[in-house]
Amino acid sequence: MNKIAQNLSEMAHEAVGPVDLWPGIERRAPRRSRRARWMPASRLGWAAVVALLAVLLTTAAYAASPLFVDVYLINPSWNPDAASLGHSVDSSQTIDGVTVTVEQIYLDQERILIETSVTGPQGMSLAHSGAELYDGQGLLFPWIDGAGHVELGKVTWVLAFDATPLADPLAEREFELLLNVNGIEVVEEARVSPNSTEGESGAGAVELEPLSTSNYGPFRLELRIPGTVTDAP
Amino acid sequence: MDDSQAIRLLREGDIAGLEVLVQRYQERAVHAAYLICLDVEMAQDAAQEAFLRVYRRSEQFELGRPFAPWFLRIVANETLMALRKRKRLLPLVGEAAETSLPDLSPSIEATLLTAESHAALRQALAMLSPKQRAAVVYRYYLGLSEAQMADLLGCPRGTVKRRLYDARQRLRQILSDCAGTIIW
Repeated sequence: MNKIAQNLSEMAHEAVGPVDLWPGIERRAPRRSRRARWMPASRLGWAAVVALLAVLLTTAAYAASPLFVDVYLINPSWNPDAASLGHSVDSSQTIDGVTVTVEQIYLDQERILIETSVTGPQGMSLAHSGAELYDGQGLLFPWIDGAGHVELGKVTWVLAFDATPLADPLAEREFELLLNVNGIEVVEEARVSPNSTEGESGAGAVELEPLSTSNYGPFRLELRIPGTVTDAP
Repeated sequence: MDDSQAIRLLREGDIAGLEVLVQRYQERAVHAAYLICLDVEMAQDAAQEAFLRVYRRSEQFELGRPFAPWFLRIVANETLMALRKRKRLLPLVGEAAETSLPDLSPSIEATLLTAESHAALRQALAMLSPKQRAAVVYRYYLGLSEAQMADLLGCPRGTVKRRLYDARQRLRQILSDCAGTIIW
């Protein structure tokens, strides 16, 4: 350990003293919200969900902005007027060339919708991963689902969270949105190994290269909205 | 049990995996947080919150990679976030005034000298901005390279170099009045 690290370490040790975080952590850890059974467990699973939703949304006759309408159309019991009731938010963060922006938020007594856009390198298929929403006191709002538009290098997405943990629905609110972004490089053509010959495999050996994936984040966006609430439909 | 085995337990919902990680890294986590915020209570809260994030988000950790750098970055982020929240709550209180000096117990001369060194170092750190302190902690306490810091902070490497340079210059200037206390 060099002298600087040693000085810093000694200073911290002297100031902090003995540390025992486990009792406090053990009390709070069981409050973890577990992933629903139907949610994908891997990045490839998420990519499949993104691709499926993109196909569904782009082929549906009513798939158009604003995106709040889209996400509400997935569940007909929800209020499609949410598209005009959102609060505009301007919060963004860029990490390694990938930018996550929160465009607007809508909430009522049952759900919180957050419209985000993610832009990144051209030729990269992007997807959210592990989105979590907390309020200023660290209260976790369970994730419900999401919907949006996907194109290479850009995703516009609405994330829906369960608003029922809100204790005081009329108060001004601060939220913290945490998420990661997974990027998968889209390979347009199969790459032929320069060492392969037609004689080796009979039809020309095609070497499949593994997908190039990248992880960005964690992104952390602080959001503040005024203290009004819309009655749930 | 190594770190990856502990993470696997966590993913299976076994809290014993978390306890292993807490016992192994809690001291380093609290110390790193303290060096950024210079507040013992906030440092413990930030470290605790970081462990809880690991518990909630264990699937984001890539098994086989070193756990400590990944985790200590979370600790640093939590600490900076806590500082930002406190700044919003107490916008008129100067940062140096918010923190108190550590208790010193000058029983013998050598101990007194050491305590004076730590107090001087702490006072010098308190005069840096939180981001400059974080840069010092990343580079000198956690041992990250400038490239790793740029990746972590989401800014160009040049910005990291500049932030470190500014922090070093400021610390040298502050510590120059405390002869023979700290060797940089």
